[in-house]
Formats: sequence, structure tokens, C-alpha cells
Amino acid sequence: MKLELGKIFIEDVQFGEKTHVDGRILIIDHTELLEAIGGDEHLWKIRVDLAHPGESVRITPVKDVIEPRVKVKGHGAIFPGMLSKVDTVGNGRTHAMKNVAVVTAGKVVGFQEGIIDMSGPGADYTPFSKTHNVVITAEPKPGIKPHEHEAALRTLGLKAAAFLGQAVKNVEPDEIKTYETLAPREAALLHPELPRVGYVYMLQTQGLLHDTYVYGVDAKKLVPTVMYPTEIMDGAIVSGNCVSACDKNPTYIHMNNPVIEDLYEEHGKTINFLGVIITNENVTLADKERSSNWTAKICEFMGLDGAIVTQEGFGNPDTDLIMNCRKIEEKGIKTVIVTDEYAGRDGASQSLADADPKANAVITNGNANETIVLPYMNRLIGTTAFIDSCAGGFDGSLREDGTIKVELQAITGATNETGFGYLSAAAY
Amino acid sequence: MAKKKIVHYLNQFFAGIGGEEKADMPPELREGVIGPGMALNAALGDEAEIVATIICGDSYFNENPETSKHKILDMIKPYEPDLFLAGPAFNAGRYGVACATVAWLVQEELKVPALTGMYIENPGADLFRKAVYIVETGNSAASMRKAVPTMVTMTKKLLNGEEIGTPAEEGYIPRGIRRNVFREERGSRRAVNMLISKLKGEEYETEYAMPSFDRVPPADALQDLSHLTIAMVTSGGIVPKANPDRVESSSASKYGKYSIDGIDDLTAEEYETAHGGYDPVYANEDPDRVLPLDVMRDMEREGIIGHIYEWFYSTVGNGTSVGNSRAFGIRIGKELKEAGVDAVLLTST
Amino acid sequence: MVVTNNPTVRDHLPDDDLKLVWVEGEYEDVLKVVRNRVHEGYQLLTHPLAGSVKPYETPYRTVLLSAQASNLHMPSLGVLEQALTLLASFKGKDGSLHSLRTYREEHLPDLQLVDYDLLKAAINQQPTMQETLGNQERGE
Repeated sequence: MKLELGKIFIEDVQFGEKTHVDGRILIIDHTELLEAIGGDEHLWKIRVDLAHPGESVRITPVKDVIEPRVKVKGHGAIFPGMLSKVDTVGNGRTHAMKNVAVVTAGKVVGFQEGIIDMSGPGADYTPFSKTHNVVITAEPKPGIKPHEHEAALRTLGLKAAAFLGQAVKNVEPDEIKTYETLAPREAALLHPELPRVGYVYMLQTQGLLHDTYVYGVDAKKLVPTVMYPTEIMDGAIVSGNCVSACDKNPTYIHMNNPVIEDLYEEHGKTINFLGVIITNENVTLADKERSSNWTAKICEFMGLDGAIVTQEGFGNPDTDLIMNCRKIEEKGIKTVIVTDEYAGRDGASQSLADADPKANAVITNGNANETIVLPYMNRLIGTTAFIDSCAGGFDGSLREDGTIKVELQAITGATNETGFGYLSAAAY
Repeated sequence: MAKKKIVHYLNQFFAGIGGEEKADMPPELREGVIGPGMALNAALGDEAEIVATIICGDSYFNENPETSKHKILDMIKPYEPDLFLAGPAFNAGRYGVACATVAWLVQEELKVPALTGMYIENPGADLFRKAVYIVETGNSAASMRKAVPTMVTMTKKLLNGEEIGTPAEEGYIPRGIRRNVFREERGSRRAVNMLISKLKGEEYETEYAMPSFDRVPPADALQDLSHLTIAMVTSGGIVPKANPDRVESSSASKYGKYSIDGIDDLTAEEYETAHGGYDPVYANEDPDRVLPLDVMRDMEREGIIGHIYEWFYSTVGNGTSVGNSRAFGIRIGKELKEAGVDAVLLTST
Repeated sequence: MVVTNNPTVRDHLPDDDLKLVWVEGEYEDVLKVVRNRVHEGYQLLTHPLAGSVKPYETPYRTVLLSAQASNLHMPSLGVLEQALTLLASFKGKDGSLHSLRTYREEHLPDLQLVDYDLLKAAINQQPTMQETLGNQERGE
């Protein structure tokens, strides 16, 4: 399967007449956008704001972040199973609007989280301070349930990203990158001398606020399976995950999964990258056992020599991570696991909820409990009323002078466990 | 600018007073520099100087911890030091524990930065590595020359309030504190690099070392005990009444070895537990509950067990360092092997 | 068997066949009751930690255990002890899990709902849950 990913680099986003790209500027027609995303029976008071890198703006509580993309050639459309039919995607050509993100914000349940600061010290910790953000906030109509609210907000974001993506459908990309993955047999013939590597992609799938969708299917209902990496670039995996802002994978990160990018970078040079194995993080121990057994089995079946395993979330998913690592290693396949830590504010606590000596190659994306003081921002999109009770917040988080002291947990993408960022932790 | 003031701590041996025969000397204050303090003082140059040295016997400190701590703190206070140095203790166990304890105390009570040094396997390191900076030294005083520059560099940094780098940069024993850093490559790229190294069999450094596991695979089950000699070993602290060897109630530095030749039952009159980590009532009522000699004798009489070894070994597992435990195990194992023991019944609490 | 301190679970037990063990206490108290049951030979069916909700973020916890007790199930005990160690490492100097965090009275229903929903997700998968239990021995 072969995908040409055309990138259009945008330098500014403005409101204006008729949604289109003018040079390097994205013009958004406010009314058109609302029409494209509107009509949800559960939401009202939908609002669109723009936030640019370097501005004194804080966005919170952030739900999802999504990159505008559009399918130009090949089967299906972006976000299969969610917005479009379940055609297999990942082939042909897709255009990606770079430096722009749709951000959905709003309170789904009482305790909420997810901060994006567009400037100041907090901006260093979130990848989404570098994108021009089209922020969508919406109020739930009275009486709707959190499940419905979450689903409505999720769909709103996807629709907005797909709508904006249309604006680059006919724009000549600044850069085209071709990604190709062959079926295992052909792949083996092509690079017989290189070690065969797979990517085990763990998806948070536990229930309300903890879900991920693959081609529209709630991934907790799946058993581990194999995907072409390019399917994921076309939005085949979508986030419905609202817990743990720092280390959940927003849809943007699924679409731009850095492990996939970096494995492709080495593909044909030092490794033979065969594909992605998606697996879930379930509630019951029996499901954890089954999914990790299957994951290891598929790794073996694909004849892998090595695998990278990435986690989503913390605590209970640590058990899945360690089970996957141990069982894959027991098949004689070398693994590297990618995680983050909750070592307490002083860094002295136990970092993970599970451990195994076989997990001897670990990439950490930082200690999520470390605190940071975020300065006052001139403009607020959303509300900070929940800061003291959000994950990573605490009594007194929101101070009288408008500054906020929080743990990095509260910042969207701060310790992302696909290794999207540069943050890490070291032993002192 | 006036030189900054340092108070130094030594044991009786390094202060040149005497060996084990002087180990029970109480804390004593001397003006100026003594023994290893000389080398440290010289290397500190104009920045700081050791103004006083406190000497305490290792046995005294370990047996009178509360009195020692008070006395030592009272001796340090009037100097209002800018920093406190202890040791280095190398591989001397009791000395290491004393150095680390006093350094921690000074840091906590007097709010003065403190630094000590010792060999990584010193039990003092196990106990206090999280709380105080401990420079890693070799296992004998022969490594003093190497330890001095490391200790002095860290001393200067602590005196000036400079940021302390990683253990590898500074030479201290990792405290197990996790601190965030930004790296040059993103996490995914580092993961790919690490995987490539691992696949090639090359060296790589994990970014998070799993807590260390010291798992011993259990030996194969014995089919027939009727010809075997079985020894009994416990970490439950069962000792003859009045604890003749003074096995500590916690953080044990020793174990006891006691004959059970001709004894059928561990009675409340003759035995008790030294363990300070659990409610001793039931163990003291009937010490067989921890070390089941009574049923073992029954089995011996019934011929299920060939013979019960005539000595039992006992220590206390309560907070006892992994290093000490390992050392006890090795020594006890060696003795039992030499005595021709075939199997061991190991009981804990 | 459901061990819980969550009133929503108590009042709306998703399956009438389930035995309810009500714990009047905190998150850690629930895990301790669960540990006692595991000592008696019951098996853990759900992980003692809740999804990605950190133990210090919610006062509620619900854990699903097997209906019958048999021999001590070591993997259950292992997972549980690890969770309790983790909890201990998150405690503040006053020994409380929540000394560093707060939740508002008004958010308690939402926290109950999330815990309840995680339980429902587990129960929905229950028909397949029993069959794999025999294979849970850790091969170390």
C-alpha cells in the first residue's frame, strides 16, 4: 500500500469570506464552518476562536486536536467509519494542512483537563503551541448525558478538520512524501538482509472518556490486528479519549504518529518496517492477557526481529505495556517500550505501576507529576474554572494573580507516549 | 571574602585514635582538621575550610543512636557551618551508616547542605541514597585519592548553590530521583535508535531502569527427605531469651547462630523474637509459630525428615538492607554447605 | 462479586446476579478489602487501578472479583500488591492519598459515573472473561 502525503505549509489563519487558502494563509469563512459542523442536536452555542503561536492565549479544557486533511486520490475519505464509509484508506494521495490544528474544548464531565498555552513556559511542553489553532467550543444542551456530549464534541472536531482539509484539496503541496508498505512476503524479498521491525500501537480503550475508534469501531471490541501505517495517516484511528491530557493520543498525533514516521525514515536503510499492530488497553485482566497474547502471537507470525511498543495513559495500562513487552521478548523479539512516568512531584515515587526485568530498553517522555507555573494570559478560550480539580491540578492551582501552578499532566501532549515531544526524565 | 566553614565527621579509626578496641568512644569535638580532612581541606583551597572535626566510635554510634545524634548536632550548631562533610566511609558498614545518618540529620535539622562518600554497597548508601548526596568511592581507603576531587567539586557546588548534574556527571550515587530534561531528539526517534542498537547487539542506555529484581529461581522440589539433613533459618528474629548476640530489632547488621541440639520445642521461657516490625505477642507466646521446631521434630521422629541440623540461624528482616541480607545469605549458605546440610527450611514473618 | 465504595454502583448494580460488597471508606480501603478476598482465594477480574484515572484523582473505586474462591491466585495478589505499593508512593506526608489534590463536591457524581462506566465495560466483556482465567499464570 502506497500513500503520497502532500504537505501544504500554512503561515497564518484568518477569518474572511469563503474558506480557502490564499498563498500561505488559510482564510476561514465563519458561517461556512459553522454550517459544515453544525446541526448537532446535543450542542448549542458553538463558538470558533483562533489562537496563534506566540500569542498570550490559554486554551482549556482541551478535548481533542485534529489536523485538517483531505483525500485527493485513492479509496475512501478521511476519518473512515466516523465521517465517511468504511472503505480501506491509506492508498493514493492525501493532502495535509501543516501548522494548523482544530482544537475542541469544553467540559464533558466535572473534572476536566487539557491546557494549551500559546506562549510562555507552558508552550514549551505542548506541541500544539506551534500550530495555528482553530478552537471550537460548544455548550451541551441541558439534560444530555456525558456519553452523548463526548461523542457530539468529537464529531464536531472531525467535521471541522475534514471541512478545512477541503481547502487544500487543489493546492499544489510544498512537499510530497511517499510512504509505502508491502505485504510481508514482498517486503522480505525486497530487504532480505535487514532486521524486520513492527510497531505495537497500544490504544486506550476502557469506557467513558477512555475510548479510541478504529474505522469507527470502538477499539475495546477488537482483538489485536495488523494495519498498514498509511491507513492511520488517513485518520483510521480517532481519539475519544478525554483522560490524561499529557499522555493520551489526540487524533492529531494518531495522524502524525512519530514512531511510524521515524520507522519509515529508517525503512530500507537499517530496518525493514513491516507494519503496525494495534492493540487495546482493557479493563479486565483476562482481556489484558488475551490482547497481549495475541499481540505477541502476531509479532511472531509476522516474523519480527524487533518491535517498538507505545503506551497510552498511565496506571492500569502499565500492566498492558509490561505484559506486551514481556511476552514479545519471550518470543525472542527485541523490544523497546515508550512510556512516561508518574514519579511524584519530588520525583521520588515509583515511576510505573508495573515492572519487569525484560523491559530493559525504555524511552520515557518525562515525569508527568513535575509542576510548572503558568503565567497569566491575556486571553482565555474556554474556562479555567476547573483548573484546581482537573488531573494535575490541585487546591490552590489557580492563584489570585491569574497564574496557575499545575502538574505537567494538565498540559495537552506534555509527556505523549508515542514520543512526539522532546521531554524525558533522568535519574538524579 | 571569608572562607566558608565546614564541619567534618570521622570515626575513631580514620581519626587515628584506634581500631575496634576504641569503637565505643562517644562523640568528641576537635578544632581544625584531622586525617582524611587534610586532603579535602587542601583541595578546597581558598573557598572553604574545615573548622572542626567530630569523631565518634562506630559501635557507640550504632548502639546509642539517639544520644549520639543529639550530642553531634549540639557540637555542630555553634560553628554555624555552611556545609557538613562526613567520611568518606568506603566499605566500612557501621561507619557508612553513621556518616549518612549524621549528614541527613544535619540537612534536616540544621538546614545545612551535607555530603558524604562511600562504596556503593555500603549499607549506609542503601539507607540514605535518596535523602543525601553520597559520592561513590572505591571499597577501600586506597581510593581516597580518587574520591577527593569528586567530593571537593560537589562540595563547592553545594556551597555556591550551583545546580547538581546527573550522577554520571558528578559522581554521586543515584538517589532515584526522577527529574525532567529536554533531549535533543524526540522520543520516537530515540526509540528507533535504541531498537536499532538493540537489534545490532550494541550498547544502549535505557532511559528508565526497572527497579532491580533479585529473583532466585526456586530449587527443584525434593522427593524424599528421609535421608537428608535439614537446617532451619529465619528472618523472623527468633533468638534465645535476652537476645545474647543483640540482633537488632530492625536494619539488622548481624545474625545469630544457636544450637538446638536436644531441644524439642521452642518455649516462651527460653526463646523470643528480636523482630521490631510485627506484633511480637504470638511469636513470644510460642516461638515455634515462626520457627517450627516442634513439628520438625515430629517429622524427624516419624522418619519423614532424616535429621535436623543442630544449629539454627536467625536474623531480622525488618528494614535490613539488601546488601546485608545478601551477605548473611552467602555466609550462612557457605557454613551450611560445609556442614553437609542438604536442604534449608526458610521462614519469615 | 463487586467490591465498591461508589454509591452509583451500589444503587444501580448492572447485573442482579452480582454479589455486592459495600465498603464504607476510601479508594485504598476498597483495595484492602479486595486484597483480603484475594487472600481467601478469590480472583481479580478487573485491574485494581481505574483506567487512566490516577488513584489520587478520584475517591471511588470498584473492583470485580470471581464469584467463587479457590486456591490463592498469585497473579491477582501480585497485581494488587503492586497497586498498593503505587498508592503508598503517591501519599503525602500526612499519609493521605488525597493530601495534594482536591475534588469538588459538585463533581462527585461525574467521578462516580466514570468509575461505574468502567465497571460496565468490564461486565459487558464478562462472558469471555472466565475462560482465560486459567491461563493467567505468569511465566517467569
